[in-house]
Amino acid sequence: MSVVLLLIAALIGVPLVLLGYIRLSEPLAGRNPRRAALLRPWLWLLPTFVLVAVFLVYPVVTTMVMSLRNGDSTAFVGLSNYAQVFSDPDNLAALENNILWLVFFTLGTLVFGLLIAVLTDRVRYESAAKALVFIPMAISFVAAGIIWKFMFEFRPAGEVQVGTVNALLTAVNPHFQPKAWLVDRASNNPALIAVGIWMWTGFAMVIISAALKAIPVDVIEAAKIDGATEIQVFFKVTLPLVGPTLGFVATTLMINVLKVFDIVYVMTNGNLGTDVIANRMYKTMFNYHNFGVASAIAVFLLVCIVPVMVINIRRFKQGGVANG
Amino acid sequence: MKRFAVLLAVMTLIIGGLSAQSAKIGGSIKVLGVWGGQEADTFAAMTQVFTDRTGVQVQFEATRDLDAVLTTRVQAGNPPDVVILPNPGKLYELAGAGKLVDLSKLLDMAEFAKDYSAGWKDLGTVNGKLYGLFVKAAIKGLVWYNPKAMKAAGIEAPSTWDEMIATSKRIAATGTTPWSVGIESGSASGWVGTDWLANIFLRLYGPAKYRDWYEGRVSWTSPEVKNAWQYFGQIVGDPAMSYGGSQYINSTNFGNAPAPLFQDPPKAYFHMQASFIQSFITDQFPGLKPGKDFDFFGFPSIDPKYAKAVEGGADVVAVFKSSPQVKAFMNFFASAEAQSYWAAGTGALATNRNVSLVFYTDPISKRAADLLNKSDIVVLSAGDMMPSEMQAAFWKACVDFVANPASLDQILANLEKVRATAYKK
Repeated sequence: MSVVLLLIAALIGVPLVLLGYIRLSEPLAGRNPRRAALLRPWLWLLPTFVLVAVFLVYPVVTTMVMSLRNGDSTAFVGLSNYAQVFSDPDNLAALENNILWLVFFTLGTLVFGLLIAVLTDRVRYESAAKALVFIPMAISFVAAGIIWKFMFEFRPAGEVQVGTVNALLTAVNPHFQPKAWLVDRASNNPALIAVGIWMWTGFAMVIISAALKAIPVDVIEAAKIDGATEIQVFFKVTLPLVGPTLGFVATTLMINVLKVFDIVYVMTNGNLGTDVIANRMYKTMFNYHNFGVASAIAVFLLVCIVPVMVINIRRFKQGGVANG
Repeated sequence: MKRFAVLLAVMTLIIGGLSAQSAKIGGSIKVLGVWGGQEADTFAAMTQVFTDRTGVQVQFEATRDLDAVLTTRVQAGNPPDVVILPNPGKLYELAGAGKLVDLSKLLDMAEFAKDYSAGWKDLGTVNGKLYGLFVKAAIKGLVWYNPKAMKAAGIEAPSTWDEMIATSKRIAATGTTPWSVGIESGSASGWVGTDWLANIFLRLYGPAKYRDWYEGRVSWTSPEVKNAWQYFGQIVGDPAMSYGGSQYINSTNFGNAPAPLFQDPPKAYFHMQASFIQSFITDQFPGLKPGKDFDFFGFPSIDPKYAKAVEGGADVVAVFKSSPQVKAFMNFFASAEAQSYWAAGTGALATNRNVSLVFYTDPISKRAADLLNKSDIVVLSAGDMMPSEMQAAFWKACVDFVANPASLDQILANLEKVRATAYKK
């Protein structure tokens, strides 16, 4: 019942309120047509500004203020929270892992996305293959984490392996020693990153594929007439032409990977050297109730993401994606 | 009309003490907790009786991530009326911060004194005021076994730690691992290890020292604490002692860990876990009969002086907002009638000592409940009593210790560092 009401409100109420706002704001613009033309865009933008201010600017500023205050926000402590963020060995280990994620997740997703986009570009079952790769994007991170936790399930050697990964490996090679992938310190971070790559490859593939399609055929034909092999065409023509798109995908992936949380939280909760910075922020905030340090981590994360975002927006303005 | 009804209800409550039986108060209360599955069903059945009687709707919201949800709602000034906390550490934090309602103003205290032992009352008291009502208890540190397998292998239940280790070594010599341990538990992975350590510590040094430990007055790097960890290491640190070795221990969910005991031939003979594991066993192996196909013995004694202490665990109920509805609910919830619902086959034990043992439908729960009712010293799991930051570090330390027992000194040094800050708040 309440869902129906909500739908009605969203479909009818929201446009109605907007129209009403535009109508009612009109007198504010004044009678002078030139002045009104100058004022009108600002009046129309006002609701957006208010929303952004309430839901974005206010929390960011509050977080910044809180990052300079103590655990329960009762006293000003200067930069000591930041000092703690960068001296706590757990946080430093998490930062190291974030760098691992940043490098291997981004590269892995990009390479697989490109590979699949190129390989499926000229086959008959292209859309089916691409749909298959894209499906994981539709699964929530938490669900994917749980699915992969089952896939990585471990039973001691000699038992029936119920985890897909160990079952496959022992079936292929009977001498394979089953492994607790998420527990072994050598394999747990790669295992988690693999889940991330599995989820995001579809995203990279779709965008890169669109860029591939946008390459004019005559350019490639010209190269072939000049005697270029397929491999030469790929490296000398295709790759430079999709370069800007790869850059866009890479920066988008980086923004996402800096915030990585769900996979780690669900699969290992950061145990045995798999913690990441967003998970540290969550723990500091909700388990340790240290709002000061948690806010400092949040601000640090924001500072890390801003340059990547600026690059992304610049690229967007130049129309890098559209031109492929 | 409604206001009149409320007034009437309040009046009857005042005059008749606990007389929710006849009062139709109406309205609703919001309850937040972690219960799901069978626990939630039992709670729903219990509250249905309350709703039929009083007309008060109980809106139960369950989350496995209580810490996060509760922190957000308390900060936003929108706490639930009643919260059911899975550990007392949180209770002490909230009570200390002045967020909770004194339960002696809500509960019929004469009835409470009759129903609950002084031990439960003390555990729920902060700064002289009662803030927590303990419900749905479990006895921790029981060692589960498969009587048929034990008989076939000619093994007898040990009563001291040394006997237990000797028996375990004898089993290990035959090529079968004696223990099955699993400490994975999502974001709380490692808690099973903290239960092991709490039981060992309690039986090594007694309840007074145990209290000093969880209250932060014992250094983690002290020889006593290190000694307790080394006892734990005798079982989890030796791949011949525990099924699948450290990889299995760290990757196996605690709920699945008893399974190797019931394979044919058995892959393990002993499993240490609280009384609630019974419902996990019967869920996975519906054919098994409690008492016949699986049973338990108490955690073996180490220092005979402390053989009688029982380590328990319990959920604790606290109130954020007082109202006639909440008052009626709390009195009902505390009553033997409501608490008897736990007894009927959930594997949980009632804390209300006037819940008759006849409600327990199987011999194992009955024995566990009897043990709990008769114990003088009930201590709760040390980890649960610590501040949440200390507890989380303790959980993590257990995971690290299982992965690499050789790094014990470093693990303890880390815990000591957390102790320096976690208790300050």
